Amino acid sequence: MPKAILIDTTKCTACRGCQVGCKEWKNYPPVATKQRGTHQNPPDLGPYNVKLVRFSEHMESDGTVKWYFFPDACRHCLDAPCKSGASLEDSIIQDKETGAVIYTEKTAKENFEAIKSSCPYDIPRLDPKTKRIVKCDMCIDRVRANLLPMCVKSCAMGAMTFGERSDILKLAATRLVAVQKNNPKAQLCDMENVSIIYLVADAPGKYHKYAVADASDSPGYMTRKEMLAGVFAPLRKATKQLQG
Amino acid sequence: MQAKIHLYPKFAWAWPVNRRILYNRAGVDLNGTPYNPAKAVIAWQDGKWVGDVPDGPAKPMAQGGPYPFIMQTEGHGQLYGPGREDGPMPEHYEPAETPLTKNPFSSQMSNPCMKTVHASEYDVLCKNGDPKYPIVLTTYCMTEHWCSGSETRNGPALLEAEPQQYVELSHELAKEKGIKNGDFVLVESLRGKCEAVAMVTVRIKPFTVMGKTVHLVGMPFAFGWTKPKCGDAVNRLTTSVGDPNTTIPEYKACLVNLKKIAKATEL
Repeated sequence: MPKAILIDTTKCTACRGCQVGCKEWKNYPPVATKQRGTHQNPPDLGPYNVKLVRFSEHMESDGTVKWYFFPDACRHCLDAPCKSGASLEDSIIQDKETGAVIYTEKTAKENFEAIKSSCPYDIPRLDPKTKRIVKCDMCIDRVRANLLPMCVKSCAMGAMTFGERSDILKLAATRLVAVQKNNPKAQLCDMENVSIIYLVADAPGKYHKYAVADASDSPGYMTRKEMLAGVFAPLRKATKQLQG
Repeated sequence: MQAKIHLYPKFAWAWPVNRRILYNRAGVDLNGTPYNPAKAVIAWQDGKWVGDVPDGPAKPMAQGGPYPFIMQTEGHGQLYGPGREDGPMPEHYEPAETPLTKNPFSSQMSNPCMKTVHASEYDVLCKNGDPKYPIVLTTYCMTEHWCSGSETRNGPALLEAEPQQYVELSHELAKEKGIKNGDFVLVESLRGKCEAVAMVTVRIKPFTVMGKTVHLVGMPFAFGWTKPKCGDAVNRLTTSVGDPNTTIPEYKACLVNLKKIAKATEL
């Protein structure tokens, strides 16, 4: 039975237990960081940070402050564009039991830029030492041993729930109704297409640029089919150039 | 029952014995019935307590249980008791260092019973409303480091998440001082100096106090010189003033000034 995780960002306090817990379980080496005027550190996902809590703050027009936290990681798409885009059959595989999208050691033979640009959530990163492409594997080793994924296990706030997809969808719908009472813009990010479902209380773009596959506020966003067809790659490149 | 008053006894643990409200039997009558059943902390039902972990554990008073305030000699609640240095009624005093020249609530500016230290040249306080140090500094801990961070700064994943001393300031103060997010800043008090990285945020706003704009900045106390290049201790700025009864230090407020610096040596 496919699994899913609900990440209820309204319960997240950005303690970063998931970020640190993930890193510890994977035994990733530390990354030298600097304080840059934000709590978000390291600045971005990396080969040794496959889970990262993103911070964003907003001064609303009515003078209230919104501080949003987004524990970013692979969404484990049901029909993963990165898997479709891979040149080798077994470099990116999908675990039948859980639905987890897993990058094997054969990703070292893949074109990193092509895989990265196929991801609408900007997740894949290159390990410079092993040349492997890396990302979250839903803690497949733990799940197979009947343990919770490390991020879920370390979430003291109960913001993350792991379980059967059917149960998680029900829970997600219930939480959405509750959160929408005070936050009419609340939504479940790309729920139909992903295994890691984020509940956000505001426009997804206010949390993270790639919170949803079409986080841009511009009209005429890509459909999933276009995305799969790889139309995203040139668009992403253009965006990058614009950003410098 | 406890969820009604937002008590969740299975969330973490509270000292002592996971009791969430001390002297909880004060919320019930002689027979153990809550004074306010809608907001009960504890209740005596069918020969036992339900709800919070009872003090004692003792029976209701009608069955021979002691007065609820079990750590007080007489078992009663107290506004003022033997051995206290100040009281009996609450009063607003300004901190030992204040940006004000007059306490709007009292003729007494700061607590006359506060404990001060006079051991060295660093044990000095600004005069009230000192124009050289017009900014209020508050200090706090953070999730990633435990207390002063002397242990957790050795945890690589924690240091990675919170690597260096920072100072949180409002956009308004940053503009006034020509400071941009991520700039190096030198924070100075009458006692010492400390370098920090500017974190310019909407989460801090200037106050208007008695018609004057007062800026607040905040720094964590989790850094220190034992880990090179992570910044020095904010204690170099704070006052050595303690509360009258326990001498718990007044690290929540003191006066500072700050300026942008091109190069940092501590970071």
